[in-house]
Amino acid sequence: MTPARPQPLSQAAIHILVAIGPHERHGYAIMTGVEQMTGGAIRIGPGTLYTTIRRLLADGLIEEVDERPDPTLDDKRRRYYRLTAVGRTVTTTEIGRLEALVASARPWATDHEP
Amino acid sequence: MNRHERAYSQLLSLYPVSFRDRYEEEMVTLFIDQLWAARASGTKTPIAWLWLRSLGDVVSTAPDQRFWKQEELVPRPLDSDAVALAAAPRRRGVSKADYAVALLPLWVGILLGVLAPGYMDGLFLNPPSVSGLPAGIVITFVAGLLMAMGVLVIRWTSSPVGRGAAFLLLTVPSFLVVAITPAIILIIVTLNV
Repeated sequence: MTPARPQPLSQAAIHILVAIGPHERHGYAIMTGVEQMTGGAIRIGPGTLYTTIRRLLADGLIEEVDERPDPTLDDKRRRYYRLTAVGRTVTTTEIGRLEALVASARPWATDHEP
Repeated sequence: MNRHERAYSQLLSLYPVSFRDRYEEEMVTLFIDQLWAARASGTKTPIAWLWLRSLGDVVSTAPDQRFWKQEELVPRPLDSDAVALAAAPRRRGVSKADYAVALLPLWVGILLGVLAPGYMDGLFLNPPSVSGLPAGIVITFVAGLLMAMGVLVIRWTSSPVGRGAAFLLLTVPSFLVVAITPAIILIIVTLNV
């Protein structure tokens, strides 16, 4: 049987991966990071954030960090996440695809700007 | 724990226990962070918006988690983009066979229309009617809606349990309605009920 085509990353997943970037981030930092990156256009709530994190963990694209960057200053209930090697590669590849998409749209999109 | 935290914790009971065990504490912490940010404005409007957003967020993501489990992982085919990406396990997507099964009522309707056109004529009889329209057409429209909902659920739910539930609760009833409705209408007309 031919394996089914893999599902593309969701928009929320791409934003979360980019918001984590090279850092170790907890949920609130990821959420505010997405909001800042998009100029407030995209706000992800805790439900969307943690259901997506669950999938990204299951897919091996992110991992939980055992040690806290600064345990003395932080809420013990927070957990930190970072990209795995595969997660970095997937993120870089997705960004490359998005750049190619933007580049192909740029000529006519610029022409039709109000 | 204040009333907002208590209410939000209650709302999280929409998620399955396995999800709550792992993420409830973090989600409540994050909600409190958002609440502090909303309160900083000094008015109640941002808090009301936060609650509206949180309600929508939970209601839209909880059902999928009810059906979620570690999906069958299939190896991603080799990709020239990156070796690591090629090796990354990805979730099983929706295949053409999945869609073909979800459209079962449509295939049955077409098959009956071709093989037994007289049987399907019952759909166009009036009376019986619903709001002036032939009852068979109205019922078939509802069956179409059920089928479309089944296709959408299969499209958006990647877990086998979710797809199975969509098939049993949406596709099968739609199939039964399409197959049986003409017969029921013909019986009603024959008996002149």
